[in-house]
Amino acid sequence: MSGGRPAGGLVTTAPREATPDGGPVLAVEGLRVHFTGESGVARAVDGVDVTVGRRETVCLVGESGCGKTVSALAVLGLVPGPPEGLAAGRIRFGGRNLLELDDRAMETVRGRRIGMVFQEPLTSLNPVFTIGEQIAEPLRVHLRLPEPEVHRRCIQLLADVGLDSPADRLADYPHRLSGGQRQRVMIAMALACEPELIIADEPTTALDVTVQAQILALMRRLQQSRGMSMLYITHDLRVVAQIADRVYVMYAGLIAECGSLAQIFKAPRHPYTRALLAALPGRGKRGRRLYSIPGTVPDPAHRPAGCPFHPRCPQAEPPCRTQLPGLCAFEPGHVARCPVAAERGPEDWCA
Amino acid sequence: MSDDLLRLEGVSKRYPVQRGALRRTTGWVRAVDDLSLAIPGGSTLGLVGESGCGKTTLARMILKLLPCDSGRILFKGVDLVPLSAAGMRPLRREIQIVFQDPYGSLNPRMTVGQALSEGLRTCGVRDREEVCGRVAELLAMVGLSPEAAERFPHEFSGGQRQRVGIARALTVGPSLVVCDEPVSALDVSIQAQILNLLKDLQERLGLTYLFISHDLNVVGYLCDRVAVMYRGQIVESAPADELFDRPLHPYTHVLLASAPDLENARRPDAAPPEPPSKTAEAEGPCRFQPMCARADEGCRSFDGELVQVGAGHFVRCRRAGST
Repeated sequence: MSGGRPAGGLVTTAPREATPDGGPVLAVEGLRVHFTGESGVARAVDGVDVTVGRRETVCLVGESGCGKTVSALAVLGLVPGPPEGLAAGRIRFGGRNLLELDDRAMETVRGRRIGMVFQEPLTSLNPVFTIGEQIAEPLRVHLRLPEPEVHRRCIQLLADVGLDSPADRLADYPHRLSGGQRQRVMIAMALACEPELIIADEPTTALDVTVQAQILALMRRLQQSRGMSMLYITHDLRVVAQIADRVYVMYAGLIAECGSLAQIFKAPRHPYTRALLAALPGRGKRGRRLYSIPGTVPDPAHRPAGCPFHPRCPQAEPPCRTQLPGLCAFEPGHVARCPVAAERGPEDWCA
Repeated sequence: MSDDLLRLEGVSKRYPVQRGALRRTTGWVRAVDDLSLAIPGGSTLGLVGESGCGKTTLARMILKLLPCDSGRILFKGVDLVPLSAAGMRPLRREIQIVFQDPYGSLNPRMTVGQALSEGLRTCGVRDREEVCGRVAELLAMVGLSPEAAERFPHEFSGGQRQRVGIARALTVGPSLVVCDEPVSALDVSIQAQILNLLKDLQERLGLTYLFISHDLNVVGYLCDRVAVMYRGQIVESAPADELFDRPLHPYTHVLLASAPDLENARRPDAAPPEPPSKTAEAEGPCRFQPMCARADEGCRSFDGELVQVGAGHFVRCRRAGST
């Protein structure tokens, strides 16, 4: 943070700092996160580059164990240090490398300039404090607002996230709320300090489809009206289709493909992305077999050599078994880690 | 009698709402309310609805794991409701269930082989070699290697465990399998494998499925007929294509809009309001009316019957058809 905001000042009136070069809000470069356990070193994240532009919603999508959540935790400085864990690379945010910040400095970023929304609102909310106390905490700790202002802000935040009679809600405990309402409270907490970036990790996974649609609409509306950027992590391609501007597909700790929403869904190039889309059930595929990816996701401690997807890939060639392929550009902004696809063009193995 | 394998007629179940230290009953939640449906043999009926709509209560009543308050559950023409535990015994073989979380339904201290042979013994297969042979056969049927019999549930991945769950349901040779959210907890690529497996097994063994899910895309892929459940009632039921192409109930519209197909992915802008608490308006005739965008004065006195509006298409809405 170059200038720093005056403590206790109103964030709403503080000018938004531009990133030094007007570039992306968040730039993750060559991120590696390794954990040391009994079965050896698990390379959970193995060289990931992700950028999130201003006012942009970027989705990180992949199956369980691909490293998407760990990447987000690394951005938030929540990966344990050695000996258990190690995060290396660069995470550029606000002109600094977040990986170099000490705990104190990180606290001025986490929750204040980067808001977080997690999957399980019931476990993320403290059951013995009221909603009001929990929303007020970041306002008191980070912004040091005077009490009447804290109270006013809390009510405003709850109204912003669409809870009815927000003033009465402040005294409620989390268990009194439904799953959707709890997630709204979590979003209100994430928004409290008006962060530039929201990191949302599967925030709608535990919710019913209609509630999920409400929460997605709410997040999109807030992101646009407040001019925030969002890094949205999910395993659900249908959610991606509803919220993303740009998409990163992750597999085995690496980015397999990255592109705009249309590029990923209409013209996917990486065999893994294509297989995922072909495996999605839908009414249009009734009577046909779904494409199923053979084999299973590799264990992070024992990744195959070469391209991590090659044992399950229908178009793998001998070099794929030995060399990790680089990212190949297809269109501006559309890259995939597959030279075979770049060479041969789309094949119809998963039709 | 028709060729329906399973028929439910006016099945109801309500749970008491208890308050205070004395657990006084202060109200009732009608979890399943005068519900009727039928599944023809060899077909798949999808039951869609959100959490708390009564789907699982219904499944448990069909399996007689939960008594029902009123109504008839006819399996092959026999009413299960009045049957004693002993009377139910021969029918237990015919009706089996696959749960969402097979880990919670498998004994962690039993190998998969032991879990499967237990079911075989209950239906009279006692010869050791025959049991082993059948276990290997079942494992092959669900796509697991014979060595899986020696392993414990925790040694399997989620998808493999669901295969074990399916194999166990098949040990006793059922004709009806109730699938309660069997793929909800699985990753996309694994989900596709399990859906393909369920389809193959249906073809090979002539199984009938009651497929309970909250995922319209899964249901649209797998099911012949779809019934949409809302607060203990069926609000619409129709052949799958008809339901997706011509949804008539406002709640079905909301569901379809909330879970768009990828082909016509649309940003959700008009999201539905959150429902009030479950007991609050439970006495109103149309349960969706407080949230319905199309409701008018007349809906308050609507008697809430399912009405046939087309070939096999039933809907519980007085404004259905009008726009």
